[in-house]
Amino acid sequence: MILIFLLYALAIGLLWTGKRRPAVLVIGVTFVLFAIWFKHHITDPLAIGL
Amino acid sequence: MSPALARRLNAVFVLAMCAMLLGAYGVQFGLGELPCPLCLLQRAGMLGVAVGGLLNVKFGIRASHYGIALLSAMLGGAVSVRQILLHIVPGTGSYGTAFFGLHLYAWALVTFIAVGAVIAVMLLLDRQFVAEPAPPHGYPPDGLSRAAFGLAFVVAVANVLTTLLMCGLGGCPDNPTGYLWLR
Repeated sequence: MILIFLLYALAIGLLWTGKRRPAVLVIGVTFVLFAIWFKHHITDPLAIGL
Repeated sequence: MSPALARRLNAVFVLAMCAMLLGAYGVQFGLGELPCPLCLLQRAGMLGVAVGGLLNVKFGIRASHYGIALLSAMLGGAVSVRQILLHIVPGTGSYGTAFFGLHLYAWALVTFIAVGAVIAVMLLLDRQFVAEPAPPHGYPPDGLSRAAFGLAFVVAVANVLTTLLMCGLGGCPDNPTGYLWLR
């Protein structure tokens, strides 16, 4: 989880210094991590009570 | 809407997202309610929306930048929906204090839907998309863009630090009760 925030901080820093393409790559990695982390936390898909 | 005005609006949009994230800190430190893993993911979604706006501020308005913001909103919204559904059946409890009748994860969903609506409206305005490319290393910053970048960076770093304090280097507990590294 820390890694996602760390990567966002890195992306913001890269954007500030004018490095668009590396920043977009980093953002792409955060999306992948986000999906992995979300899936990891859905340990019981049927826990939604419906 | 001129490209310059659109960039300024995007900077204001970034500041608004950061204000939401600072509000979450208000609940965390003011009420002592620690964020669960799903809460942290929703924070990440809001930060992703802000980063999409920063791309527009720095490199000019592009549909792909709005796409990054929208994708972040959708991911964050999915997490919010998940958390709402976990507690939607009466008697299954809830997470955190309700504000004006809704818990923070419900307000987060409202925010993500509002983000989608704002982006949809912005995409209707064609004049902001100019053929003239941005300078190679982006537009030089003005006061508003400096504030947007600065606040977004501070919020991102703050989330790194507070998550580290709460969870250490391992996974975050489903129901956090304290700061692991402060015990």
